[in-house]
Formats: sequence, structure tokens, C-alpha cells
Amino acid sequence: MTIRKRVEHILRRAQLSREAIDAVHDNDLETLLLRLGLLHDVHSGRSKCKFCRSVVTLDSLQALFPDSGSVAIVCDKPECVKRMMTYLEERR
Amino acid sequence: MTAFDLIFALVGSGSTVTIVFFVIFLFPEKVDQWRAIFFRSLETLGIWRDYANKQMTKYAIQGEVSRFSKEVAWELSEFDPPPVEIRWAEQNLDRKAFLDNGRVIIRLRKEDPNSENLATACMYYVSHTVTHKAARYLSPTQRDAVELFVGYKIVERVGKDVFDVFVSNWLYPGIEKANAKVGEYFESFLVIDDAKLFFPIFLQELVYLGDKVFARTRNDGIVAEIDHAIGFLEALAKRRVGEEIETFCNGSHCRFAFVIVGASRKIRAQGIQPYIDYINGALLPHGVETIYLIGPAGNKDFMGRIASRFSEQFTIPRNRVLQSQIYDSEGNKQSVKACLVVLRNKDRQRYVSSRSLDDSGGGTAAPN
Repeated sequence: MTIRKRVEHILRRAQLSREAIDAVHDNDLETLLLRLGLLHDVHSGRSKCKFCRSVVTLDSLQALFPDSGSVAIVCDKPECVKRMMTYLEERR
Repeated sequence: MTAFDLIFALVGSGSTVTIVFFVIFLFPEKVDQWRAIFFRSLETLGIWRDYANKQMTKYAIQGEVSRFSKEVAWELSEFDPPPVEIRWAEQNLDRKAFLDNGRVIIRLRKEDPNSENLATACMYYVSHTVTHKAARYLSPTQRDAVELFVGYKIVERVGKDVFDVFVSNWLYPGIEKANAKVGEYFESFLVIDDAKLFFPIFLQELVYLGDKVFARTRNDGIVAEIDHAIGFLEALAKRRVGEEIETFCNGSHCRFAFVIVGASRKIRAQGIQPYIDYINGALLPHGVETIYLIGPAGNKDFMGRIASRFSEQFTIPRNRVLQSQIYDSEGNKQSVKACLVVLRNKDRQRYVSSRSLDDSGGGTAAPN
């Protein structure tokens, strides 16, 4: 009976669609920034974290999201990533 | 022929292709983990290093997060967090498409000696998938604590490196530097989780709450009720065998109860009737929405008979035999196999406006 339940569970799970997390790998980061029109700003130190307002470099960039018609950049401080999650959740 | 019979018939035919197909179809998280190992090996050998690193990053995250979601879904009847897919940003994504799409893109690092990629992806997954419905009604500290605890549960199974990163980057700042209440909740969750069954039940109740409350504003009444539910589950997790404690969390929005089917003497002498009478007399008149029948695995059939008496009013999604921790009458911790049967009221209420939340003595019931 337990094996039957386990199989039923696995079958049900197999039909679930995956939740997508959109991501960019380091290999493609500069290309993406170029296409979004941000590469020059990031290289020249003019991009700032939406939450802590510190300068975001290519090394410290952690996330990007659309925000009121522009692209918001988030640095890699965990508290800024957490604030981004809260911000997005409240916006939903 | 059921799906179960079909699988065994195909496996019995000895078809290797069939077996491979079913492994891929049925165990995607395992396949992801193998793929991660494969690409890690390629990278180590210096073969297609960049490509291998990118694929390894993707599949390692997918495998670990999906494994967690599958295990949690097995423990509970209606809580089914989906598996995860890392979807790389399209090569031709332009600014307009990005702004129209409205989705976050997180950066995954090539050099990741401390597994920060996994820690970040875990927290993002938890925030956007596991707790997002209930998050609208939780207080910020409750939400932070739940997300940190679920993240903690994912990474503790993965390995020491990623666990250390999670602790220093997420957990420590979350419970030490932020609001002290987050730390208190986290401590409570540790106690609740110690009994194995009750933290997944808490998550399930949060999902139920998110499913039935549609008001857009946060409500202090719900926040207080969740506090009460946490205290209630903490007391249950610490309960010693035979100890009489409150087993009905009778709030306005959270109305769930445990019926402990444990006393073999009572079972032998009186059968299912005392349990039927208790549910009919003490729970149903108060509008209980979920009843968790819980007892030793040996009482599973007996619990099934109790549950079947209520099949007209309740759906009985599944029953489970799970490993649990209990305290004996002397206070010694014991690991036991417990059976959990969930009864979900078909007539549960839904709250459709802020006003109905405020009038929470009854709320505005919508048809289910």
C-alpha cells in the first residue's frame, strides 16, 4: 500500500510544471547588460543598488528586475536581496 | 489497469529504454543531480569548461530544491510546492522585452566555492513559491522567520559549505541583527520541527489560509492567530504521551484540530465511538476546518475507520505513515512511526474582502 501511494505521489509530482527562476550565468552577464543598455553604466561605476544605493560593479551585481519602466539593479548584499524579495512580494 | 499496474508491467517486460524513460519522467530531481555530477566532472576534466560550469550550476540548484519540495509534498496532503527550473535569460532578450516580461533575473556565479548560488536561489524559491500566498497576511517578522526556516530546512540537507554560507549570509543577519521577534519565531519553529510532523502541518495551514483569504490588506487579527497557532503547535510538539493539552486551534481563520488516536486500551474497550462523539460534539459545532488524526502507525486502519465516518463533510486527501518524534511520559524523546490522516472540511469558509476579515467572527463565506 505504501509503495502504491509512493508511486501515485511520484506520478502526481511528475505532472507538476516547474516553477521557473530566471537567471543569468556569469558567461552571459556582460552580453545581457549590453542588450539592456546597462553595461557602460556598470563599467563606469554609475549603476547603484536600488536598495542600499551603493555602486554596483560587475562583480557585485546580484539581480535585475523591471521597476516603473526602468531596470533596477540589486547588489549582492543578502539584506538587499531580501529587501528585493519583500519589495516584489508587496508589489504582486 | 491503474498507472501503478502499468508501471510494473512495463518494468517487468525488461525494457531498458522504458526504465530510463520512467526514471527521467518520475525522478526529475535525481536526474538533475546526476546531470550536475556529470557536468562537474566535465568541468574538472577541462572539457567544455564554460558550458559545463553553466549546466552544472543549473542542475545542482534544480536537483536540491526539487528534492526538498518533493519530500515536503510527500509529508502533506495538499501542500505541493512545485519543482524548480533555472531558466537562462534568452540570448536575444532586449530591454523592451525585459521590461514587458516583468520578471527578476538573478545572477548565478561561475566561481562559487561557497555555494552562494544555491543559498540565493533557495531563498528566492521559498519567497516566491512556498510562502508567497500566505506572505500577504503574515507580519514581516513572521514572514522572515518562515522563509528563513524553510531555507534552513533546504540547505541543511545539502552540505556543510552551503549551510555555512546560508547561516552567515541569511540566517545570522535575519535572526540576530534584525527584529528580535524573528529569532523567537525561529526558535519556536525548531521546537515544532523537532517532532517532524508539525512544521509541515504549519506550512500547510499557511497555504490554506492563503487560499481562502482574499483581502488585500494585512490584518492584525490574522497575525495574532498565526502567533497563537505557532504556540499551539509548539505545545503539541513538546507534549508528553498521556499529557492532556489543548488540541483544537479554534481561531476565526485558523480552525484546525488534532485528534490523538493513541490509547490502545480505549481503542480496545470502546472502539471508534469516543472519537466520533468527540469530533461531533467538540469540533464540528465550532466549525473546525481541518482535522488531523494522529496516532501510532499500528492504528492506521482504526484511524481510517474514524475518517470514513466523516467522508460526507470532509475530503480525506491522503493518509501517511511518517517518522515522528514524541516524548514519553518521563520526558524522553523517542522516534516512532506515526500515522497522519487529514480531514479537510468541504464547507470551509473563504474571506473575500478586508471588511469580512475585520468581522472575523464569521467572515463572508463564499461557496467552495
